[in-house]
Amino acid sequence: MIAALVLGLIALAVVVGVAWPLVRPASAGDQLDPFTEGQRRRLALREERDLALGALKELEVDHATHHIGDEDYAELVADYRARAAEAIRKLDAEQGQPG
Amino acid sequence: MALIGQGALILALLLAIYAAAGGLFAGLGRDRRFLTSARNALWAILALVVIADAIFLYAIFTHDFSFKVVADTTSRSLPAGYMFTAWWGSQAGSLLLWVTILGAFSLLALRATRRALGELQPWLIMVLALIGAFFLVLLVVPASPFVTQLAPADGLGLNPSLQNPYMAIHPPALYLGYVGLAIPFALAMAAMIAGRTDARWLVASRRWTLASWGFLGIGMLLGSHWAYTEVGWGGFWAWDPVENAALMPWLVATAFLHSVMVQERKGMLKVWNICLISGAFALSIFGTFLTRSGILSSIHAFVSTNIGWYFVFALAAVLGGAFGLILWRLPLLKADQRIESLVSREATFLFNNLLLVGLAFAVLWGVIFPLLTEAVGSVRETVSTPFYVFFVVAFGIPLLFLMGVGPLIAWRRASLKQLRRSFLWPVAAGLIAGGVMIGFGLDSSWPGVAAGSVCAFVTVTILSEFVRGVAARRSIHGENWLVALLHLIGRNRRRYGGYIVHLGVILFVIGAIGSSAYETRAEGLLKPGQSLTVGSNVLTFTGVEKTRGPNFVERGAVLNVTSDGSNLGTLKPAKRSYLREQTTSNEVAIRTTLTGGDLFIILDGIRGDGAVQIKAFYKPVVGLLWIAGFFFVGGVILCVWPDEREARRILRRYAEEPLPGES
Repeated sequence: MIAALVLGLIALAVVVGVAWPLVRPASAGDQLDPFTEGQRRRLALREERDLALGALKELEVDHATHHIGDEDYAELVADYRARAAEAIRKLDAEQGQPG
Repeated sequence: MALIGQGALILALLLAIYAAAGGLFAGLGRDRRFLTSARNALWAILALVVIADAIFLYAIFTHDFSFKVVADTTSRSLPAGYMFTAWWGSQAGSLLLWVTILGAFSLLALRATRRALGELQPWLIMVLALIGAFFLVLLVVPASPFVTQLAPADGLGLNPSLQNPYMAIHPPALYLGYVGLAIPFALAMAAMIAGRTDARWLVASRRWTLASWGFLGIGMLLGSHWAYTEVGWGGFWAWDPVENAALMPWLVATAFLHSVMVQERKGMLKVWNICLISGAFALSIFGTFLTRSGILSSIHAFVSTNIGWYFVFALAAVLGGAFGLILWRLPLLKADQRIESLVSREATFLFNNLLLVGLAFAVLWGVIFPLLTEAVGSVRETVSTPFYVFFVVAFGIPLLFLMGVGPLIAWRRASLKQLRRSFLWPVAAGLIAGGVMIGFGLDSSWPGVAAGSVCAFVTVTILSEFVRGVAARRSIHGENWLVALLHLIGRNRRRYGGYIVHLGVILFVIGAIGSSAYETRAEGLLKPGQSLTVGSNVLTFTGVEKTRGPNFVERGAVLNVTSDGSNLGTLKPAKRSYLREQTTSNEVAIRTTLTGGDLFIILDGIRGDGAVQIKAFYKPVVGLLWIAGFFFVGGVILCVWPDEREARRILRRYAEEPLPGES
């Protein structure tokens, strides 16, 4: 009997705690913001930019520790700089786009 | 009490189903109220499971044998320390521990991803709640810890093999690993449902995977040490299905931890990474299934206990769900770049991945082969150690080699001139090591010579990485050697933490090969006064000694050990008879030498006339296995330790693009 009573009290507390957000008065902030197509696009561009910038830093380390020769280093640096610049250019173009 | 415990679990199950539905509604309807409600449900589940834990432990400590599980796994004579470990000594208790850890981890994961991955929260709650619901169904229906009976006067006792201090840490460490893999899996699934396939979920899941992988590794090492010192079969790894159950997800998670670097840096292998993380979690479920379904004793036990079907369903849901989501999100998972050259770091990681996954599949085949043969025919055919050793050698040595190659090759591509320069010293070290091993007569095992040679190659590679890094810092920043080393490690924790783990792997491999391929063994029936020689050690049997413990009687063979004429003391391998449990365990005697080798003695039997059957081994460099553990733990801690610079960089990226999240 006591066990059933204790269990009932626990269940009541749980139901109140879980149901409270649903029964309290609604507010303006109850709607979750959507993740838009524009955000996805810009995030992908920022990732592309950061990947290229990260790769440039890594190349620097690889060059300093003699894992990569001067010729390859120069070529790869130019390539990653171009990629980062392209991503930044596209990001700038995205400003003012809807979404 | 049992009623409250069972009621708490039923309530937790209902809440888990509700939380999954709440997450779904919150995700589809973009409704924050459902999100908060579902999150509260997860908190309530943890509270209810903790109540169930407390009741279960109270029953164990008060010898309440009206709880069937308590009566089956404890006794009045069980030492107090092992009363706690009896928690995970039973199927129901270990599943209860699973759910408790999952509850705590779920809330931690939600907390950690609240800001940067707010969009994922509803789906994360849904996936985690579904996983929790599965285990709660097991606890409520087929494996309840709260089944009661008419209390017997005493319990049956705990399996003597589990009455060992290692059992206090080994199973919980494995469980932390198994359960921890649920979080990266849930993050991957939530990211795909939400369409957030950018690298953020990967960064969030990487640390969880590392920690889980670390716990699995520590759990396996502790289990190996336990098997070595307690079980008394004369080794540290027996390719037992329960050991393999932990090894398989560990291997796949190892592959993920390497390939994740390729995705982070190159935007490649996105689908592959999701497959790996799903595979690692599915294998952790499979591991729990293997150890908890009764299938290992017999396929018929699996059918009769019916808990196995629940696991089959869960495995199908995990793999089917992951496959379906990958197909749905395939357009978002296209690689940003391609592998340009087979001689590049990303290609090395890819080969490493193929070998790791291949090895995991070989182990999986070895595990399921007996089950398949029994299911198809009537006779169970098993694969034995040579099967596994073949694959470990065939896949392991190339893997070791790649461990040395990876750091020496730059991303994207490497020139021949650069390769010559980078590989000169490591290759020379490998060849010299191989030559020295042959010179010392160690060519009795060619895999041993090959592995030793590759180990030298990798060690020089790793050490040269530290030297080059420090030299570069010294020339750029003008630091002294020590400061340069500390800064080098501190500012590149993942990279150098990884190297430290690799050094641990090398030590482990040397210890494993030394203690197995080059061990010496001897066996004999000894009467008092007679001797047995193993290596340079002479064991002289002087008599049998009997002692009493709290719940056992021990009979040990006293052996006087001498080597090259000098007395090294006595060793006493023993057999321990547990009174209540009515079983016997081996207590091996081990003497560790200064060179890290072990004199390892097993008492196989005691005859009525006082003669003893002794098995003795000398295992060179076996101590390196355990030293490797410290490297492993140190390296993992370095890798897991939060990297503030990385956190700042990511926060900057997301600060530019305010995303749906919560403050």
